[in-house]
Amino acid sequence: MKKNSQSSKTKNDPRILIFLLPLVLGILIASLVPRPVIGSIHIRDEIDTKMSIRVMKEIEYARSHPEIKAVVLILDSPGGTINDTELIYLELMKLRETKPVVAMVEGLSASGSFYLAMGTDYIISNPSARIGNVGVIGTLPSSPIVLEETISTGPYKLFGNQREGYTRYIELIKESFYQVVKLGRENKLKLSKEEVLRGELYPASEAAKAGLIDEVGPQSSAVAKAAQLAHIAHYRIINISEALAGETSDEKSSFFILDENGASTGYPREPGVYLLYIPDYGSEIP
Amino acid sequence: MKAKNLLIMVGLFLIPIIARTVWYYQGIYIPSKQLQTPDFLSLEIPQPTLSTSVASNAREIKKTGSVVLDLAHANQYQITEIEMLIDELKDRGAEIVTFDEGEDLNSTLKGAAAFISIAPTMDFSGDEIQQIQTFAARGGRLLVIADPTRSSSEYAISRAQSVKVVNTLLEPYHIIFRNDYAYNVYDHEGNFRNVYLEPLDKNELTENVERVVFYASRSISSYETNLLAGDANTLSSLTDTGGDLCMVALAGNNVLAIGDLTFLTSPYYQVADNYQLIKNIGQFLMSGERQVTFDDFPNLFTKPIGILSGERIVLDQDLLAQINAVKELYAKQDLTVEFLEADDEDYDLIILGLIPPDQTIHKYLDGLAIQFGSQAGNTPTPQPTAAETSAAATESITAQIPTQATLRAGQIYITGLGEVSQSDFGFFLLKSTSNRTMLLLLADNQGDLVELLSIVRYGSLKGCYVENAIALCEKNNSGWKPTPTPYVVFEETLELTPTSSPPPITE
Repeated sequence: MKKNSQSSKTKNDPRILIFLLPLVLGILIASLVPRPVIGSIHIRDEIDTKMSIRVMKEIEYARSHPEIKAVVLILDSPGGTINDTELIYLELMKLRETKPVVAMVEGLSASGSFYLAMGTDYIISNPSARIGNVGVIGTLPSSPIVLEETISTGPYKLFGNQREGYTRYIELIKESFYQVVKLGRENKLKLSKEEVLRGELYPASEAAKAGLIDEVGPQSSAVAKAAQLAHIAHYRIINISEALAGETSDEKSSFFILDENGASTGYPREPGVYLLYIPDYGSEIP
Repeated sequence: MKAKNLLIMVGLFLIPIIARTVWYYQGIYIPSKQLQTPDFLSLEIPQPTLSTSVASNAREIKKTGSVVLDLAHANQYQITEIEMLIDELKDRGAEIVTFDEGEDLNSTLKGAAAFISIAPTMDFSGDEIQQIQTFAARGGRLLVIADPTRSSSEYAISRAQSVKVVNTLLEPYHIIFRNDYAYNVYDHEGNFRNVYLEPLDKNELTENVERVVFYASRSISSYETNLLAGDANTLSSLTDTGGDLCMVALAGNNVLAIGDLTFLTSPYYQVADNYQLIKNIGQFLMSGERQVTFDDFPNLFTKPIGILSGERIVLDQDLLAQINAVKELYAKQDLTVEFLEADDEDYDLIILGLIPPDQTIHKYLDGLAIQFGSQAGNTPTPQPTAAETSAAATESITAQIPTQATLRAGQIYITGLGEVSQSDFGFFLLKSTSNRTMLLLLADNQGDLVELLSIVRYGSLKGCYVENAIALCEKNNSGWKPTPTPYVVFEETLELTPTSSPPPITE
């Protein structure tokens, strides 16, 4: 009788409720602690204006979403325009002030694409990927002419610079590219400046030995490295471009000249200065 | 007790929060270093090497012949691109002539001082190569430029073809252009393929040249004189090896090979000593010791032409009419033609004479391998060459050389050809020295001499038999016509060129 009475007393003891309440409250509040997310950003084509707009939106998304604790930048690109490459690079550097970024090279990280890899904390590559091609490529503009029907106010109003000036400009961009590589790889870089600027493409294993990348491995290693750098576990992975679905354009890029079958020739449509690797350069310039 | 309960409550509240946080977050991300981007403001645009000032010397312009620009082999350049070189050539009195597709190279090279072939991409024919070789062997200057950026297309096969074309042309001179470009990643002018070159040998072409810049240049393999080369870090794109790669080579005295065209063009000619090199090339092209031969006929002269006539020549209407026509011919080459009372070293000469030559003509026949039947003067005895010292050859020669006594009046003996009748032929005899050219016209009578002058006027020895410095034009009822059978008696055994100091024949 006394035992029953004690049991009933426990059930109705308000002190238990007093202890359960903070626990439940703690559980509720704990559920507000977000599960960390690793966001992936994909650069799988030429880096042009359309690409840079999309990627910068994705970087901004990663920066403004606190649950995204790290970013994996997946690269498989021959590079592209200088402006768009630099824009993405500078945004990546800004993102790294708060979140680590790991580059994963899937097939090719050449020229402008390698430039972007230099804006990450760690670079992992597929064994068969090719990496490097540091340098600039460009075409000189037309020689200055004067036209009866076109009036301009100065000798370079129509052309911007002396024709020869573009060679100097390209050299300036090359120097800047090298600075990016030097800062990106610091003391891990085992190549001299002249060797870097030869513009060679290295197989991943050679690139790792040369200090151009950190490691050869699968994409899961890149994700794990991003998690390690961000000090997170039990994370989930999202493709940021899917999170932004609808906000990005599906319009087909017109960066390259297409052949009669609609296939890309690898040559940019517009003359200019590029951080670009043209795989079959010289064999067939349209 | 109350405090203890409170602690428990706080603990119970925090446990799930801490547990979840620790479950997910094992630390805080702190950027491992101060993130740095390049100091873009500190980057400087490389500036080109200042050009060396070149004194513009006032030059004496003297007529020295034409320079032929090859445009017949799908050459990948525009004449306007090499204006600086053309100006230099014109300053030195050159007339710029183009050799276009379908034209006869031999005719174009008549009287030319130099032949320039830039970036040819279409094969030279065997005849053309032979003609160019002959031209260079006679002291004509040959300039071949093969630029790796100048192929008929960007296809690899086109680049290989353009190298093959120039290498075929230069094969006899032991010069080979490589299918590459030179580069230097350590020390260059604005771009790795803009390489510095410095002279290797002292030469008129490298005078006052300390350093030039070539803009994508083929390297050259040559057994001959390597004039300009890159430093130890200048490598060939073909092998990524090299060092001291030659890009300007000279074969003999007359054949110049250059691996770049761009340095001749604007604005690149202004860089370093490029302009000085262009001036030197201009001087080189116009300063060949050109040996004038009948291949140049009638463009044999470079100075004002004086006419000297023999004692028996009568200046009748027919002769004056032909001389006037000849005057008009040479006026087109900016050369004057006038009668001279006496020889003048400032003139090239056309000498008109009848056979047998009189004393006025006689002194100009020294050194020419011709002997006149009624002539009592000096004519050379044919001399066997060193290669013809075999007893049999000597016997053969000796047996057939006529002596002064055996050579009949009206007969003419020409070394290497044999005896011909003076009434059947007219003769052109050519003497060329380092400072003047003399053309002798000898005929049996005045009427035939007038006909010989008409050959000059029409500018072709086609149909005449030409052997070194002598051309024979046979006469028949229909006028001058080709010699039907060459009078070659000792073709294999006699030296046909007049010896430098022929022994005098005494009576």
